[in-house]
Amino acid sequence: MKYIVQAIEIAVIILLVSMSVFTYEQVEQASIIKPNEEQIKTYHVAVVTDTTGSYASDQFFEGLTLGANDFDIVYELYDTADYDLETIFDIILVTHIDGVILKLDNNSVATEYALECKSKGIYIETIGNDDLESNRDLYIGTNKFNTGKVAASLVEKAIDRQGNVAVILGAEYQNTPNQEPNNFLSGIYDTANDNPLFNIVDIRYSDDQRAELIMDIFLKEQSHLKAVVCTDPTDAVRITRVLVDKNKIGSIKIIASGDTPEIRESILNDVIEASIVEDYDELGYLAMENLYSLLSGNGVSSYVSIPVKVIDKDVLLSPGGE
Amino acid sequence: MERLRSLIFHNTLKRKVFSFILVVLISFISGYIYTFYLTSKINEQINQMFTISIQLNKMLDTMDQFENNIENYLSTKSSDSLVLYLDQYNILEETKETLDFGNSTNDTYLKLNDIGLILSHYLDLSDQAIEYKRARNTEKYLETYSEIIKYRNYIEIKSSEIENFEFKTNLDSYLELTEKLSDIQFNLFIIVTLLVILSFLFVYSFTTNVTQPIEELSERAEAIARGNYNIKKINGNHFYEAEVLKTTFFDMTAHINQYINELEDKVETENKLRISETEKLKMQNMLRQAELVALQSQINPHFLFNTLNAGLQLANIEGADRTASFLDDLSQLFRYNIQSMDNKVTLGSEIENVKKYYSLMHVRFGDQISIQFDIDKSVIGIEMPPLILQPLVENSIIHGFKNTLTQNVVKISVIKEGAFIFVKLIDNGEGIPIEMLDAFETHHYEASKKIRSGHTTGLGLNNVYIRLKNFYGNDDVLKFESEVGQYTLVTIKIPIKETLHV
Repeated sequence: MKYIVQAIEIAVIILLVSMSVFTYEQVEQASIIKPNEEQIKTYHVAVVTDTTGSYASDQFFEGLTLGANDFDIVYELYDTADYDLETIFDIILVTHIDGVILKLDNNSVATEYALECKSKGIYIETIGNDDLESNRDLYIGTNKFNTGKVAASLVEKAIDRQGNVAVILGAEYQNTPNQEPNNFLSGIYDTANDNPLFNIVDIRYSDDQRAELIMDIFLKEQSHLKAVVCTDPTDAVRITRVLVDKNKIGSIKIIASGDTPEIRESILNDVIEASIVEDYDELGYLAMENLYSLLSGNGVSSYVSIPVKVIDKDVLLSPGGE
Repeated sequence: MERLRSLIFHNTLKRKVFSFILVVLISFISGYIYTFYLTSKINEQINQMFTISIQLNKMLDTMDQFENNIENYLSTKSSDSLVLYLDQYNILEETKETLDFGNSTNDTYLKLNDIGLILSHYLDLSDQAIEYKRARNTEKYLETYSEIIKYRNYIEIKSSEIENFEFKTNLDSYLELTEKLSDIQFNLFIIVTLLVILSFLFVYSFTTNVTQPIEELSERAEAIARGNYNIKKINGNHFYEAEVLKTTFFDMTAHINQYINELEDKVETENKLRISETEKLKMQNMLRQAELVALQSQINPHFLFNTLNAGLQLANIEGADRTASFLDDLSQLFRYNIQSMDNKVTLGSEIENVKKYYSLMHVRFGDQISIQFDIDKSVIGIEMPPLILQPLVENSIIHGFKNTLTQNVVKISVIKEGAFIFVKLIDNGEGIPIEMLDAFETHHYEASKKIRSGHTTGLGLNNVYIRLKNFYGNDDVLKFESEVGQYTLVTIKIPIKETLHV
């Protein structure tokens, strides 16, 4: 009996210690203040953007964050949707910012502030569109004109070089009255101008309306529509759903943008014809890498272009395509 | 000091009680500290959620007062406002120092660092505004004051960004924490329950440990009370007082047991002594009887001896040699017979006496009776009581040959075998009836008295047996074997070593 009691005592003590350790670990895991793994970096960069929440911007910020982690940089995001440019640049000028990345639909709107920054020794890097007036130190981006031309050539191939074509521009493009066609549209027009059977019949912005509604309008208003070009992968997936509902798959070809799993699946299912892939992730990473080179005193080219690639069913079915 | 040493180094009951209370107390205190630590940690984590907000709000409050004082000073140039302004300036300077987190990868710290830098600019602007006021540059100090307000707004923007960010971050963690809190509470309940169980087990072990030796001692005390002194030892190592009790108890029991044994031995010895005394009295009684018998036959021994001697001289004068020899033997036989029964004689004397008896019986019966001797001469010196063999020979002649017509032979042999001398008397008489032989087997010789006659010394077999038994201290000293019409064998078993004591 004595030994049984002693054995139970030992068992209870072991259980007690285990429970204590387990509960302690549970409290540690449930900790509100997570262990701080902060690092102090040398350079402080501000990213000024007017586009967040789109596929392209999400990919871009992923690359940007990866680049900041790899290089000696921390960055802060300033969204023009939250603050006006004056506020943003006032803060930038007093918070010891070393460089500014401008990723605006039209970077030239920040030219005045960029000049002030430069006068304070702050480097300026523009992303996406290149405005020499912005007095930037560095530009990184895809050549949107060429991207437009690639999109147009894919459309021509899909519709056998003749037919009506509509364009849905994603959140990175904004519809402002009396604006000149952006570089992407210019690229498409350049091809269309050379082919009288290739007609651009409608251009709409998903920033104004959801892509499904735009597609409904196209179907109602453009009875001879042969193809739709989408610059945003989410928009492309959304319009495929409308086409499936209306049983129009195959009769209207879709040229998408991006390399999401949904896009790939749609290409393999012959719902989407092809997709233009701009490497936004790479764009973000290179933006940080080149700015770091600039900040650390190493010379970099003032113009860095990111090429585009095309994915279609042949590419996906080729070895290594998936 | 001695008490303390005893408490620490001896396994005393006091130390046991002290250790037990200490262990239970430590268990509960540890449990309490542990649960207190965990709840404090959770509480601290919940509090930390608001730490930054509290700090920022405090800073903004100070900035409100700071701006009021600047405004007062700029509008009234009040020295009191300036003093208050300077006080708050110092507070904000200190706050600014605490916000220097550098280019941290932690978003909150990076924004706090921004606030610190904006605050620094804000303070610089306030300095400038004061300077412009002192320089009476109204346009500039008003412009600078507007700048101050603008940068104050930027600080508010950054503060609200931090609060929003912190709220989102902390809300997730808080929800996670509250979700896990029920599990943690359950675990704490189990821990407390286990502590209670452990304490119960400790109490059980402790009480068993303390009461077990006392219970066992009381069981043994009950056994002793019932008269059972053969009690088992209590095994195991107990606390000092129990060990003392145990040792003392068993020592006491051993002493009582020894005392009782001694008493029993004494009683037994006394009993033996009493028996021995009784035996002695019996023997003395028998001796007296024998002596009485002897006295009866020696009514006038001098007369008999004188008469016999007169007869002997007459026979010698007359030349009657055989008569003279007969009277001489008779005289010697009488002399031997009237000696004290307490005397010790040798086996040789006994045999010589039997030979005298035989020569007398031979004159009487002639060749009808023959006594033959086969004696081991080496043992004839052994001591024995007197008048043992003669009564046995008399028995053979008087009873064994009473009704026989053939020649009667008595053969006496003395043999040494091992540690004993065997004196055997065998006759070819009519034997002993079976019922009498059975009585002899258990040394009941009273039956032989009935057939006592005047032809003998008068000493019965019982007398012979008692004297032999008392002389050698051995019951198995006389044995009768017989077959009716064939023989009677009497064996006297004499232990050699016993005779040395006698």
